Amino acid sequence: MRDAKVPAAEMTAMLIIFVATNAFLTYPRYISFNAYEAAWMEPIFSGALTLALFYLVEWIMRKHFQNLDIVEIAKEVFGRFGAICIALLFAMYFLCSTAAVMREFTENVVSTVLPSTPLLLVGAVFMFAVGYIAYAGIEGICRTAFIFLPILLVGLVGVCLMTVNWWRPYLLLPLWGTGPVRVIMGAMQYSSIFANVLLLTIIFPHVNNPRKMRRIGAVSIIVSTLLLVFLVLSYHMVFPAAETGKTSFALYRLARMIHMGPFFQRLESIFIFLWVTAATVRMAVTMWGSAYLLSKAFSWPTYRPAVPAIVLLSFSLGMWPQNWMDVIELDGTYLLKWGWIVVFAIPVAVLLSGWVKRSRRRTRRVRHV
Amino acid sequence: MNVGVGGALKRLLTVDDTVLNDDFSLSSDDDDPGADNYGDEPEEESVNFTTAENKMDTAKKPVSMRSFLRRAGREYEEAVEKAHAGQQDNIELDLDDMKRRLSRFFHLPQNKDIVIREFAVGVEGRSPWRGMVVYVDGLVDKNVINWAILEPLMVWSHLADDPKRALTYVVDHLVPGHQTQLIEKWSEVVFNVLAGSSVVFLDRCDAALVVESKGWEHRSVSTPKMENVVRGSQDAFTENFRTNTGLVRMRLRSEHLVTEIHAVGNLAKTDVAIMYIHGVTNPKLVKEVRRRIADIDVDYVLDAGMLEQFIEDRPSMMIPQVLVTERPDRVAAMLAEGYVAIFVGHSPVAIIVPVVLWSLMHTSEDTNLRIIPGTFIRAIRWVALLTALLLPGLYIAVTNYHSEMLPTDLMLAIAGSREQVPFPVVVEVLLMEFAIELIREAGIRIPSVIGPTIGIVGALIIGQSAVQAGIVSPLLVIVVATTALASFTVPNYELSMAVRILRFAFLIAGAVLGFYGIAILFVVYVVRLSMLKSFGVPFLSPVAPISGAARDVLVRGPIWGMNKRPAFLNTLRSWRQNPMTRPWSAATRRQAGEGDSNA
Repeated sequence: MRDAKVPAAEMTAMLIIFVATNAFLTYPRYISFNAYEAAWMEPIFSGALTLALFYLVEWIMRKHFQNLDIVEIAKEVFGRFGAICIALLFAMYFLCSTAAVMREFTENVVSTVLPSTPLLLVGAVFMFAVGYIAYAGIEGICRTAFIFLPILLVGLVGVCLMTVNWWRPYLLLPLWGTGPVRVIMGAMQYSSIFANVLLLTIIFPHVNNPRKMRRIGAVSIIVSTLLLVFLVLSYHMVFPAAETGKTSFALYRLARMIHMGPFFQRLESIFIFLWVTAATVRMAVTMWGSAYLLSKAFSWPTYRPAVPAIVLLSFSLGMWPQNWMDVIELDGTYLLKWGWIVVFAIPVAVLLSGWVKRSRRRTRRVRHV
Repeated sequence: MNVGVGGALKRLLTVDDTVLNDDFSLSSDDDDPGADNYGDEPEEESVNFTTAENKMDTAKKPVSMRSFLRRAGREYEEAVEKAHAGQQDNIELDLDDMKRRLSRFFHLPQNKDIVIREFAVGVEGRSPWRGMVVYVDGLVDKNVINWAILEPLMVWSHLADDPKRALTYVVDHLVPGHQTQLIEKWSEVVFNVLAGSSVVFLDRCDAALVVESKGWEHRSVSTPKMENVVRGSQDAFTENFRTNTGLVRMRLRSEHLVTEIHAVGNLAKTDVAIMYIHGVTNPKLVKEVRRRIADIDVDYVLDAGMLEQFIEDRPSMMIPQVLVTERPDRVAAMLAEGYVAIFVGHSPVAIIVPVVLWSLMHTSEDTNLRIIPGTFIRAIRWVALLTALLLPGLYIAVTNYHSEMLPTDLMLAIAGSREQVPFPVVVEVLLMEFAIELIREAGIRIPSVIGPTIGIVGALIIGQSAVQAGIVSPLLVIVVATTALASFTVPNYELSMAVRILRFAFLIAGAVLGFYGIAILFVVYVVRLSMLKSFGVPFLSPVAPISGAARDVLVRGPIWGMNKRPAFLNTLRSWRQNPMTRPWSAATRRQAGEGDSNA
């Protein structure tokens, strides 16, 4: 299998879209519920934590594991069986994440713009597009992300700015919301949306110029954090904090508030382009990641045959829960709340173990000499 | 007749070749005694009907498709082998033998446009020196044959002192043709005769003399038909191969401009010229173009449209992956950038490879205009492209699914205009789109004498009467007319065709799933395009993947700032102009950090 090489700008775009897409999903609901008026601070803390871990992981990989991904490193540390277990864990996380996002997204679409269309049809079309992009590989995903990034930026910022006549800054007070401890705890708990660290360990061999990885990480984390903060700030300046934690589609609610003269009202339908493009790219990343990890774990020559199977699997998994609230419950309880273990703790632990093992081996070799 | 399920299944899976044994069949030339007995004197044929090969195969047994195809392939190979067997590639010493061979090969005397003119060279000597010239009537300039071949050899050679019976002497002293060539192979004789040259044979010479005498009728250089511009040159390629290459060379007067000529086709050769700038164009690109053209194994290539499908990366895609232009100035400009141009036979267009999506939206006029108007018309074109692609689909999506996004007054106006229309909006749009497609196609095919009728039919019947009859709503007429106008704005014909067809896909997506369907289809198509390549160059370069290129992509960059050639071409020379192209300008010097020398 040839490792695709992606330029830095495209990789950055992909990572920005990957994180910023959470603005359309349930992330604003959880942080609003958790921190109330101080919800906008949570992405900042999460972003800062991610940036620090990103730099640590990047440094370890650059110094010790160049041209290796997390599965190959796990093979060195824990052997083939251990690597398979770790790859399966990550692949499962990605699979569940894809399924949850798919269901949340399609439920959003059905409840807002296509109320008479069957959920299965909306989901199937969506999964077809996601599967197709994932099939194109990391190059295709990143190129698509780069093309659609301006739409995301303009759209997201546009939605926020066009509600300016509804902004009431005093709604952001009291400044610390539910209190600093709860804000910081919430930031750590919901930091799994910044999956940059886990993604870094997978895409590291695919970057055209690994020396630019630090810059890629910094730009992508800072930009996506700013976008999330801006959205949450606008959201909270328009709606009171007690209300924001009860809605699961913050951006749509904001878009519905746009009213700038008779011709610029009810523009939420236009933002479908924004949601669809961003969500398909984000899900393609997780789907590709899942297929790629499996192919690496089981030494398949290519990941592509796994894509249709993963499409079907995640579609079925997403449609499993009875209703939307069940999905939100499952997503909030397991994927978002404990996701940090998968996206931060395990990759860092694997890398540190690998580093220690290599150092020991080197020391032993030196002694032997 | 074998009836029943088993019999029907068997007939489905087998080929019953009895149909080939009808009374008249194109495949049974061997049965026709008069079909092949020209050229040589017809000989009496005695056939032994008892041998296996002459036995008529009357058995009508069905054969499987696999064995039928295998047998057909074997027969084809045998026929090709038989056709090539016994052909020597040398030139006959004896003129009579040569004449017989020519007659047999060119199917004389039935073939009337191959002319063999025999003559005696006017040298003094013991025996007359016979000669003949062979050419295709209609492809040659008769004056060249009369005054540059026949007259010097028949008349003026009397005046020559000590004329030698050697072709080199004839070339050096007697034949004044501006391009002459000595050839020694029969295949070269055939190629040159069919290419419009005259081949001179002289008795007891084992070589022949090719005299350039091409002179077929052709259209003179005229204005472009598809790529009109207001500012810029007004000439276009014609159906003359050499004129086309000459038009480019006339503009791009560089000794590094190389024109390689290859021939493609097994049955009939078509000249294919590859043009590039040595020292600028990436040699790997030239090699790849050469390889793809050399690998074409086809009987006949009619035009550039055929060749482009043979060499394109994915000819099944609707979006073209080569740029076809009829403008010599555009070819010259792109050659200077590092692209490769391909001319095919007598086609009035040139193919340029590789191509990126953005180039398909450029015109040669863009660079002639100042930066703001140039950017403006390019922006208009991009808006037009999206309009042509999406407007009908968006109209359906808005009216069917997202009517709330319209202001109430407008929504009421649309509802009011549709009150009389009995069809759903998608049927209405499809009807109008179909009508517009008919007008477009009819507009091309209709004889020019009755051309104005199309306007009356289109405008009155579809525009006015259909609305009055309540078949379509007036707003829809505006939507479809705007879409049609927008599609005419796309400068590349192939791209415009792709947009015409893709519009229907977006229309259906909008009808089924509204904006959501359109957005999904759009994303999928962008991914498809992002993975497409044209001669090794990603189709969406230099945007995705991003590469350091001049700002001449979506908008028109300033001429004085576009210093480098497109990076995706990997040219041997990346700079196309000095970074400081306006050294006399104080502002430019200041920007370059050199300060104002006048100060």
